[in-house]
Amino acid sequence: MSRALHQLSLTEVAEAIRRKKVSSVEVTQACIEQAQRVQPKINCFIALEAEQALKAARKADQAVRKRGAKTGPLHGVPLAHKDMYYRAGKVSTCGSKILRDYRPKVTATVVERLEAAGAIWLGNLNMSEFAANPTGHNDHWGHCRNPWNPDHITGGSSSGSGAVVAARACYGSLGSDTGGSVRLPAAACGVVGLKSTHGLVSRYGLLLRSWSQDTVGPLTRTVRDCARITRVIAGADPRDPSCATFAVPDYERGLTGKLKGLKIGLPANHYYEGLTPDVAQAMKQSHAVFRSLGARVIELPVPDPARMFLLSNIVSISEASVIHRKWMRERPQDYSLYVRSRIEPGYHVPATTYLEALNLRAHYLAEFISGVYDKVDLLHTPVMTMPAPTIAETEPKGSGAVAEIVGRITRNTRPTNYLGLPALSVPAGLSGKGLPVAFQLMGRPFSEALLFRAADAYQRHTDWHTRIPHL
Amino acid sequence: MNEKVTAELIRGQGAQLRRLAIEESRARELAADVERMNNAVIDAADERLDFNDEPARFAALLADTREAGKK
Repeated sequence: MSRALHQLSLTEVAEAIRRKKVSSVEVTQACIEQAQRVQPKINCFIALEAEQALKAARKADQAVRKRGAKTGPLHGVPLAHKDMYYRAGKVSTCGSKILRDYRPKVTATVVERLEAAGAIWLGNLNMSEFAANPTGHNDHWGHCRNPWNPDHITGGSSSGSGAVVAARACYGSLGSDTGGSVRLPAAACGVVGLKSTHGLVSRYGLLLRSWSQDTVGPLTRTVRDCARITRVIAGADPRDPSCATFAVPDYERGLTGKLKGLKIGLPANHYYEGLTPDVAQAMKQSHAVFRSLGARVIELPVPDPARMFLLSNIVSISEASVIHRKWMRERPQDYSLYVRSRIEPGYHVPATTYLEALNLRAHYLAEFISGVYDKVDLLHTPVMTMPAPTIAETEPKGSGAVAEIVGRITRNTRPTNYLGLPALSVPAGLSGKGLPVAFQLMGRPFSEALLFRAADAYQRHTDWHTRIPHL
Repeated sequence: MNEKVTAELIRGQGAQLRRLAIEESRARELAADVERMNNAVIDAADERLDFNDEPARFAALLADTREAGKK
């Protein structure tokens, strides 16, 4: 292998372990060394579990050596996750001061599924406090920093997930997305990130941010890697009744590279407004790639995302204010300004307003499907209108500034959470200052297979996902 | 009728209904925020909702309109 072990993709390294070309101990050690090297620069880990990971890797290697051993699709592969996926008895800080020593009593379904597939737990990753800001600022554990330029934000709230995968310190990571929290760090750090359809992946055993809109999704180096993790974690779970019960497709099998006849829509309103020149240029180039692959790229108007943004926000603040009610009354000083400011308005929204916002979801979803997905197969938009801003630029000067910063960063991601639809963030270029730029593909409910097929075809003809930041 | 949401309302509601003390300056910001969001919902609800609506329709529609079930 000409590339260093830690630079392989998840599916490449899983195959190498399965074929006994490398051991899990070797790849885990390579990730630990890389993690220790980058941690002082980007602060992506809250806890690196080096010894436990190596112990698990040794066990994984023993299993591979057994004659006729059956191994899972992630056998021996080190992954690290946003510090909000519970493991019974082990600390899960949720990026907060308040839960600094919190030891949950349950293990998340997705964690059990990753373990059953053979994955190694490398550590717990930095994140925005209580998954509640889209920049990655964290006053309690230190800001996570962008591997492409540590003065810039990683995006959040899955800040450590974006940074660690970009920095090649593990092969994949789980994030969560309630308003853009997987897609924003994926876009800002130059990796792939999936916001799954509402109900595709169990949310049992993880921190709640807004239970009506929370989704689980992987951040990875390639689309194929993302498809693999998604298949492992998706599917019905009796412990999460909001989970859909239909069969999960073999997403990797659908990666044919073929896009002929696919109709990709470009929204004529909202999503492409106010782009910086480098984002506009990267989007234009990605349209050309899709056209060259045989897709039809069509401009069309979409139902007003700005209204959906507001409705999503109402649902989010109302539910967050319930989740945090005790601490907001007894320990408000233990929240950062970012988080406190985003929970507070929820105490002043009438219950009827919250319920109307929930009742409106079906109407807007129906309008979006008939207005968009009855005409095109996928929608293509920039994830952010600009490359990642600096940490200093997104430091709020007061409570009133928080909503403006959050609105600017999440304007293209949050409406999708209200609609419950899937969206995949894909690296699409570098800005003049060397910061990643990304588009997202959005589809109808449970169309992850199609998103993966289209984005994988794009990655076969581009190399943005292979670029590595110099750290 | 569409009267403004005031800082007094926010402070009173916080103290009387939620046992929360809110400073005057923050109450003014919250009043503007809440008014904007509340009006957006009322306008949308007036246009779209009727007495048969309930939140569970959303999950049912996601399942009904899924990719695999596309006509």
